[in-house]
Amino acid sequence: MRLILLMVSLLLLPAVSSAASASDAYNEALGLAGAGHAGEAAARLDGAAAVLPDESIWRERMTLAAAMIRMRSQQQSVLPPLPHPGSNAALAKAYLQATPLPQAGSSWVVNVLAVVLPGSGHAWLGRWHDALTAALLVWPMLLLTLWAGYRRMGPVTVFFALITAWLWSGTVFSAMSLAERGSYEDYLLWWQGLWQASALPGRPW
Amino acid sequence: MLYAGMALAALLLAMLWRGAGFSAASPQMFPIRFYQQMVGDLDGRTCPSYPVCSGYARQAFSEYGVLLGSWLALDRLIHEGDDLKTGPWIVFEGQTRLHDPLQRNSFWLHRAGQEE
Repeated sequence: MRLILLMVSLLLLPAVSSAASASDAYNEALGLAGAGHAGEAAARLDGAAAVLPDESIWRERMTLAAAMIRMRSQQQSVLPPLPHPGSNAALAKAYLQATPLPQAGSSWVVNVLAVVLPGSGHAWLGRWHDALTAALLVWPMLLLTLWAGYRRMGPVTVFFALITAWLWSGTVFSAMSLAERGSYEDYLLWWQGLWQASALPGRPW
Repeated sequence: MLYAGMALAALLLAMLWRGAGFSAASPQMFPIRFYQQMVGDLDGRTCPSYPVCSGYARQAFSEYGVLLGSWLALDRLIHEGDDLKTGPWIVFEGQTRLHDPLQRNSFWLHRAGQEE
């Protein structure tokens, strides 16, 4: 009896170690993607999937994971066609049909508002505290510059004007940055939902 | 004027004494180093974010230069107010802080560079 058990164990050993090494490779690639090395992670997954047999469950997982990691790094909303779509890919497609990508607000409105009226770009994004901070940074210095110009204070006016220009441009930069960040974080939430819906193991974030 | 000069010299000596790492090759770092070495300890490290604002500014200056670095530092000061209502949070040295690394706010600059 013991001999039979030993023989069965020896027969199963290659399959177990193959699955273990595939899952190790998968987890390592996900770790890389989580650390911001999306390209390397996707390449590793593609490489590992290529050497696995067609019937291996890890082959589909790796191919789909590589495609989704590339999707994230390019901020795509469409899953590319897969060579061997299986149940994970079907789940991902169901999510894509049910949950469209949230539409990002147009950032040019934010930019124009921030340029024309300091603080209003942040207010348009719904960031009222930030809008107040931006306005308090720019408006007093702008008034001071205008006052110095009105009083013909020469170099003092130039000094105030330079500070105002830096603060004003900085608030425009801030509004642009927050608009970009907001859109990206909305995309990231949507993409994380896609990953979880696909039932792929692990998290590349 | 003499007293002001002496005070400045004393401050510089104090910074050197404390190993501020002030380098003549990077004068743009002087205000940040000055804040970190001389003012930061006195005002009780009030920044609620991680990394702290002066560390963030230092990183921004060294990675993006004076203009973009100063804009990124200014942006941090502006957006901290609303971010403190929403997070994300991180526990650092037993304190819950706003997790706001430079990469979170500067990633789009790299993307803009790649598109060109």
